Amino acid sequence: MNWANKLQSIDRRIIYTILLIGLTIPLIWPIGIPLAVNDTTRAVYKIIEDLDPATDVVLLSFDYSPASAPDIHPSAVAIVEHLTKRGIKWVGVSFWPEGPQMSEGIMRNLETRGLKYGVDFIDLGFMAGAENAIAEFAQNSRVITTDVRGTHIDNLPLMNNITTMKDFAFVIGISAGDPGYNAFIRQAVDPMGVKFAAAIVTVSVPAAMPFYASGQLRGMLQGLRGAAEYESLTGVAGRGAAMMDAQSIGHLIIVAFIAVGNFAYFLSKKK
Amino acid sequence: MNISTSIWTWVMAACILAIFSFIYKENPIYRFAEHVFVGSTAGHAIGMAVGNIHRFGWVPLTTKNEWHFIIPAILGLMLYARFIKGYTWVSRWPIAYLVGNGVGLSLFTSLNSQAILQARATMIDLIVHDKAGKFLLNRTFDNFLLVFGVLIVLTYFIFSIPQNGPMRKVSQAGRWLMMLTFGVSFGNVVAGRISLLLGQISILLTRWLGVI
Amino acid sequence: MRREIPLLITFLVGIIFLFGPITTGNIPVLEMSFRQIVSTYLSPWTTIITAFAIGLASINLLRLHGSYVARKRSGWINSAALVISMLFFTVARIIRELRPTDPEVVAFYGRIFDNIAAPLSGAMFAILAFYIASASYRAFRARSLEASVLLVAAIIVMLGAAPVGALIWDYFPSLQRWLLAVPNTAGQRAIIIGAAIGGFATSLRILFGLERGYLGGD
Repeated sequence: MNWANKLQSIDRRIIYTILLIGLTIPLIWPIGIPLAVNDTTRAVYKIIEDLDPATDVVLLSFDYSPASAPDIHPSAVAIVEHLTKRGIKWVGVSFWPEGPQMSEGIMRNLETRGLKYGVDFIDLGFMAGAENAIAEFAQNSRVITTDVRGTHIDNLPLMNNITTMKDFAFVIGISAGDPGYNAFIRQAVDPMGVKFAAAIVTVSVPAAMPFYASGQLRGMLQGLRGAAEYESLTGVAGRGAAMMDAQSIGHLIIVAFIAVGNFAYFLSKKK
Repeated sequence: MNISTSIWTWVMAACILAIFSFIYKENPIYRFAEHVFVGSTAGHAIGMAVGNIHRFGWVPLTTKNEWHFIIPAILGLMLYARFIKGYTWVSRWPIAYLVGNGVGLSLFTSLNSQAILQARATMIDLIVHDKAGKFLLNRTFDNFLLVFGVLIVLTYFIFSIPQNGPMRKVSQAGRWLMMLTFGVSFGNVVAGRISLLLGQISILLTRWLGVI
Repeated sequence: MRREIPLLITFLVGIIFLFGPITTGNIPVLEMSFRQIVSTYLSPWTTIITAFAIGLASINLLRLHGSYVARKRSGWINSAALVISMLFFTVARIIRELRPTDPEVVAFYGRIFDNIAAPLSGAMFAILAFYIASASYRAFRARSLEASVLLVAAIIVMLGAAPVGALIWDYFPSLQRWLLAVPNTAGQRAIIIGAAIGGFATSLRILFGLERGYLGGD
């Protein structure tokens, strides 16, 4: 059938336009499809809920760049919102060069809401060396002697009782690749028993599942969906939930493309 | 609609649309934006690297008299010898250092975290009962699949002995399980890419056009 | 000696990092343990050397595109844009690193990063979604039973992961979770174990100088 062949070789710009319109419409007019929460997300939530704001300090590692930010930055924001809501102090660090710029926006937002840098949170900035840097920081968390604002860590009360990564009550790696959760597991979790969870890009979720199953990862936020789930748990609305409807339509469109493409293929083969 | 009047927001929108113009067809605007992307990313990385050299090398060297930091500075500069004709061999020293570092750091830790502990996590009960002693069929099935799934996929990767007879059948079963695994990975790749595109569209609609 | 000394460096550095976490007690002549050598000298050195290495690819870009501009090769305007943006961001970031408490410097760099570097980077990876859509339609064919299994698994994951899947069929989300937690975990775990064992073997070969590819040609 000629039309089956024509259907298979449709102009790709029509495909792009369908996808673009399909994603834009639900962003402007959300549908409000309910979202169930995964156990992996709930595990992270529960750990933070059980932390003691008086004594516990959390380490957040911002290991992603603007390229993967849409998938993972909402998770970072959602986690910080939860920590803020519970009054838990946190220390930021990064093993990716773009990491400090990713956390800077979050910190700026917190400061406009009255939280104090140096008291409620600090950022130690970027440390080069990939897995070696993670190993070094795990063994000696005072190896970074100044924060991103040039203050010596001896003058930062948040770092008073911190010597190694084990002194943090909870470590969350927000990672888009390497160095990321794998390096933390190898250099901090297994050798030192650090309590660790990760917010990772959707693409990396299948490869991370064995580590969650083995307990090396205590919990996991799975990409943008993980952020949306976390927002529903904390009750703080954010970008994750707002984009889920559009994500749904996007998936439907791709599935439809696969189905139509294969349908046309099998019809043309039959001929 | 509340279109932004900030020049920076318009610059941001122009950058996104310049890259997106590629999906219509390759054009000079996209080429220009692509080159600026490469330059800006590289420039940021160099700046961060210089900052690290200053924080972790220059400051301890000059304020705490930690003179041993001259050694990595020299090794680091030796890396750039690869750009000097006839002296590219000089860059092998720092490369050898970094390779030795990587190998030494990961030799035991990879084996421990990724082989031993993962193998240990595979040693689970094949027959599962709940606390009351009732047999759980679904959990038992899952555990059988987990344990034997790992074994049959590992069998697929044994190349040192010929895969004949029963071993071949097991290996083929492993291949089928890998197709499932790769299908799951592919589904996640699609989801991940969609969310990246969504992020950019969302930025244009919120910050630039003020539609949402 | 142009290959022997680097091989010796690899071996020595590798051995020290290897023994650092697993030995105690001091090395006789040095009166330092392996762990102390790693934490006091080698690990901090790696940070510096890696920082130098970050600039390596960028310097190569600068040389290449600088030569295009100098020779006014076709498309030299784009090369000029690359060189100018690289130098601009380099200088801006260095100033930002050296003056972290200056609010104007911090705000300026934040503005140029958030409105130039970040959107360019984000958009570059966002257009991959269009290619996935195009490939889904034109290339992802169930040509064999194995390919069909792959496609069906992918479709279940896509529909199960998105909230709309639960509206289409109640079991899509639980099927997606099961696929991720059981068959995927089994397959990925086997790959992880296999890769770790292979990596161990390769690391030993590199340590003992049997694998020399990283040194490049003569």
